[in-house]
Amino acid sequence: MIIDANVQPHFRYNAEIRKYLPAAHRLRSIPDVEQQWYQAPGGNYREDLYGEHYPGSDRDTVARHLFDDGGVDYAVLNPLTRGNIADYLLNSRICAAVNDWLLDRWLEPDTTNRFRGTIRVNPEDPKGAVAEIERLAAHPKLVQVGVPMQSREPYGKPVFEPIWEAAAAHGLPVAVHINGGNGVDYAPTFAGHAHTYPGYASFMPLNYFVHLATLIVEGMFGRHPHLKFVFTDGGYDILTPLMWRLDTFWLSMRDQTPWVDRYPSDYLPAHVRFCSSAFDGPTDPGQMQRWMDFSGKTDLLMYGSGYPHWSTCAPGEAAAGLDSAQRDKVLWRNANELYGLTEPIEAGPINERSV
Amino acid sequence: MTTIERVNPQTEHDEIVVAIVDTDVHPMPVSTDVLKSYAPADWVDKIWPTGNAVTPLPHFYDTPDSYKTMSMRVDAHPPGGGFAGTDPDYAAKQLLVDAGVSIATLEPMCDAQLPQAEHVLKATYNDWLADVWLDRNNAHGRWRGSIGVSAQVPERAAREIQRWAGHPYMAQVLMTPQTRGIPFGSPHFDPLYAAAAANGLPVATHLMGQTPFELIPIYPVGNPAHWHDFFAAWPLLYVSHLMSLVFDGAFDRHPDLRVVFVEGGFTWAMPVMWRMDRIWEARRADLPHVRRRPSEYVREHVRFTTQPLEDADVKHFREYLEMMDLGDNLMFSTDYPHWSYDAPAYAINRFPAAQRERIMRGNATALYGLPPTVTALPGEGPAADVSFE
Repeated sequence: MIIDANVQPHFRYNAEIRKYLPAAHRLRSIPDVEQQWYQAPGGNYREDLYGEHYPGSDRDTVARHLFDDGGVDYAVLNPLTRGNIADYLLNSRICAAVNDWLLDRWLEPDTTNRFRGTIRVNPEDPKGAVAEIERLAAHPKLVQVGVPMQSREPYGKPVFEPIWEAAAAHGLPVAVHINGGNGVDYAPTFAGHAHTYPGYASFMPLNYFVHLATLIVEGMFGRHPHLKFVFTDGGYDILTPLMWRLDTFWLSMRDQTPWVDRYPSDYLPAHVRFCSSAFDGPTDPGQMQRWMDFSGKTDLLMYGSGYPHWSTCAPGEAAAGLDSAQRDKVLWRNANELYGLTEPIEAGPINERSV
Repeated sequence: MTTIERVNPQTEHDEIVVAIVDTDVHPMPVSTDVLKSYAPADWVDKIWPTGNAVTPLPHFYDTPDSYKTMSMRVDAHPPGGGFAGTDPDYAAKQLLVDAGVSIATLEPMCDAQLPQAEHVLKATYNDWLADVWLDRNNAHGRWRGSIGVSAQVPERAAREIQRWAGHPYMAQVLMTPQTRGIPFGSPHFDPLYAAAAANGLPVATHLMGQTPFELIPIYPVGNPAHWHDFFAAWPLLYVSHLMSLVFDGAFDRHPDLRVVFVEGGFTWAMPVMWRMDRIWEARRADLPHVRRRPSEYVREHVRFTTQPLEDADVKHFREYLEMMDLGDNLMFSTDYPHWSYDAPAYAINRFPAAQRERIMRGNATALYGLPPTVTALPGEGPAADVSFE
């Protein structure tokens, strides 16, 4: 059994999204599928997947690559939107359009029953985000809420709390994913803009830690015991050093944040998961088993291919060096526990929606 | 607990073996007026326009009880009065005699907003530090200084480095990591790096002012509200600078450059080296100017100071450090007289036995060219040799 918890389906062509936008927004300017400030030289996606349409845009091809060639049993689709564009209401419309497209093109016509999806919402529009979760949460194939890594406020800040509360109330984890596009964002590193693509790509996933630290310190996990976050770009390689540092100063800082009533790292097992990435982990596979034990990562990590990204990682690569119990947890057990994927899908009419 | 055993303590000696080097200590001027006396007269009103003291700096992110403690060890305020770190004799008693530090590297902290004012302020601090700490109160020769420079004006920084080159006790250059959006690997800093490398001086970086707002790094997904999460994420500023130094070719342009990351953690170095190596392997065509594996640059060019040590389970922490294998790159530090001080006796036990000697003194001695013995102070037990087992 293998569960791929991080797959990005793409529109076939840039204008396709306009079919899913309300008439009033169809002529707005919207960034292209592959448009982003830090694009990988040669393309963001696997070279062999470029063709008439965008990579990862044909359901049968994706199914063949993941299920037939890769041996994957279930795949969680987490589509990108177009970045934190300045008009947050338009961004919310784009999220809804992406969700309707995902249902229309991917989840409803899929007879294999192996694809699951993500409800993309725009955190800069908290009311709209909550409404979008309420609109779609009952759909049996939508298993999580998706938000961008990019943000101008970290996700522990109270402005976001209604969104996380709605997700938790529906038992939906919140998946954070780097979302290209052309957003109004801060520079991607703590020291400013990266001068090279590798400088960008190696640092950007590590920003998850600011979201995580603020979620803990602001008490978000304490107030919402069912809230779960999935950081889908990896970055778990730096989890142990930074959580140790957060733990070290916990006791000293309790005067300021008394609601943090346990060591910060004690929140990890119930609230935090990561998807695997090609950039994480020891370069010597012999160190893998011992290294996974630090911070209990064996229970936190889920296989995610990142398909069709250029750094797409096959299950065998993600599990290299793990013992068989670790391998089981990473390749499917942890994801299965989070998403309940082996439970039968409820029969019945698909959730009503307005396009 | 492992301690440093002083062998042959009964014998009187003027010289004691260097057992512990502390690479992060913060001296302060007794008053702003004292500092002003070292500043060019025409700059005094520009740097201190209100006449108010610039020290201690107010903090955007406050540490516990900071109105009372000002982020200092409350027992570090000199009994004769004055702020923590202002009295060289009292610092010598607490840090050198009582805590057993043999040699300490002094890193004064200061900031000014405008580039030229920052440069003048740094030069003023350098003159004050050289006079008060490195000359008049350094008969024992156990204080080492840092040449403060403004990273905003690298050409002037280079001239300031040149002004102090050859000083017997100036051990390194000190620049802020709060570079207002310019990563360390940028050619912007080349004149500064070239001058430091040409004079055999490492470039250390340490959290500087927490005010004004423009000096706080903008965290890419927004800034936390509390010191707790702000400071836990602070190492990511150093990670950003280190990735830039490697990927933007600074170590290729300056083969003799050595960089010291102070008080920003060090256990992150292992995953960051893996991460850089992996992406370098995958994207070599994007990095034709990066000729070696990134982790090789780190091992050769970079040092990390150890305070604040992470309070993890000691056994796991030692195993982690063994796995990390950076025993040649870590240098012990206390952060005296600041509140999160790490005592030598607390720290040494947390390092793997095979790395202790290098971390406590060996690496710093080699980097700064320190002597094997120093003058004993009154009350110090002489030692013929020390053991780190």
